[in-house]
Amino acid sequence: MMSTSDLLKKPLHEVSRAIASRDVSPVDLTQATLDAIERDNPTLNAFRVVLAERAFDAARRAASEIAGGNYRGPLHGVPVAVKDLMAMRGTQTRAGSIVLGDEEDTEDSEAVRRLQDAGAIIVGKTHMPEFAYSPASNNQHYGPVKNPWNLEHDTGGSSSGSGAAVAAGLVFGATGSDTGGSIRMPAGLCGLVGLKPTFGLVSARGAVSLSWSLDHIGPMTRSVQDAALMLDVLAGYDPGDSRTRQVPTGDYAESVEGGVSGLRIAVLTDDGTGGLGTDAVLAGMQAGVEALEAAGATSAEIALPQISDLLLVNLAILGVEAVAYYERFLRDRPDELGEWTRDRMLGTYAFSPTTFVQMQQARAVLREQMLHALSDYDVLALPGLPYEAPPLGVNTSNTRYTGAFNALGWPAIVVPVGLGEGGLPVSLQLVARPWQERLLFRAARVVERDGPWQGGKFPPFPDVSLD
Amino acid sequence: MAIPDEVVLRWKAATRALGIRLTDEDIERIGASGIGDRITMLDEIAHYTGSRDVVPDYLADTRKMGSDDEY
Repeated sequence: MMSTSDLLKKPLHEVSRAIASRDVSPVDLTQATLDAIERDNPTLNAFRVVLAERAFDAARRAASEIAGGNYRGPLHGVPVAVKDLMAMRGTQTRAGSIVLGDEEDTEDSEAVRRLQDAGAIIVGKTHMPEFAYSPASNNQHYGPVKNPWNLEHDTGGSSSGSGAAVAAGLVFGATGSDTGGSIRMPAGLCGLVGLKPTFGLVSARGAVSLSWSLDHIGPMTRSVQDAALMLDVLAGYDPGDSRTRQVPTGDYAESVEGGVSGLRIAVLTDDGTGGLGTDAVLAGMQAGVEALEAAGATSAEIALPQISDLLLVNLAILGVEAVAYYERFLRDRPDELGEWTRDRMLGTYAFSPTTFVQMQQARAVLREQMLHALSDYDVLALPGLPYEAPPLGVNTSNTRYTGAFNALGWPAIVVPVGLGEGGLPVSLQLVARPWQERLLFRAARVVERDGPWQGGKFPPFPDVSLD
Repeated sequence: MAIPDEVVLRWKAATRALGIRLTDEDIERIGASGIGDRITMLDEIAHYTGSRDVVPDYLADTRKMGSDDEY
């Protein structure tokens, strides 16, 4: 008989099968999850709010439905978490601030609605930096989130609590949002798989915005298969979000084992700023690419200086859209904003009034250049981040390899490829053209299965206290 | 990198409209995050990409980049 703690370390897809076969009860699993959160959250600071009563109600409902033959699918009865910028009826959505969320939500965000309709058990809402406007977990109001791989190190931001919760085995998956890398950074720094889907694939309706044209919603999990299962639920056109597109969705999980035979991989050698990352990052990247080649892909090196320009485009557009939304708080309640957030927003006012439009022009030009440069390839391989998780604090270089793909709207996934010099994870990022998530899952699965990560590692915490 | 005077003037005027008076300390603290460098680099990008023929890409234009099968 498997112990509860062993069960919590299983990937989502394995637990899902156990639930479907009724070997595991959603109620017992939810109890185990909530016990683990009660034990570990005071250390990690991953959850802003735990929804125990609601979770038990949902778990009992799931157990009853499954027992009655009404199995809804792979997320049915599985405990997950959502980032605290997604509206959920009857809860407060603070988005890391003290100026939002005084009133309880009266409607669910589309991501929450889809998860609940799939039978997932949402056990809580996770911490994040204020308005998601940081590449780290820093938050003046609620404190930072600790990385389970080393409690003195950062999770990255902004889906910080989601990253820590999934990595520590408190939930089997979580939602994040990604405006400049906020899914991929905490996933990369916590040893997880994190997918930023194509812009318009997943509805952001009901999610507190940081930047309307750069925000993406996606999954954070401990395996590629799990991310695909979550995307199967999250993806789809939403008439309530004009950014979503009517594209064929689904079958992501079924595509995962499709292999990479014949796939053409472009391997980044230069992003326009010089060296790519630490020795461990480079070794992990090489090992990941070798795994792809061994599985039948071909690769060639490529320099893409457009990546650093696109990062600046991302930062500028993000800054202007963020202050367009939050200026009311700068004007009326500046003392209730954290200093980091307030300073970042005020910095945007140094831009020229024409900057925003010029950056949209630059985005169009750089998109064409990137398409041309990558026309002979299916997937771009580059680091997720240039290093393993830094000590708690803010390292703005976190977004170096992520922000460009928010500006482009292209899908990007990070997958762990080893441990760095300090014993924390390093990651490989794979990028494809729009709507090619199935391709990304296939490639990421090969790296996960045959690369240095070998299907999964767990952080020392909570089994070994690092204090 | 020092922030050019004309940028500081513009910056102060824009924030004053919000009712915020940026002090020299504010300028120094916020500027330490690299605002001056960033503005210079943004100007460079705008210079080589800006053209009257380039239509701004206000929402990430993903429509024409997927394969026909996928879209």
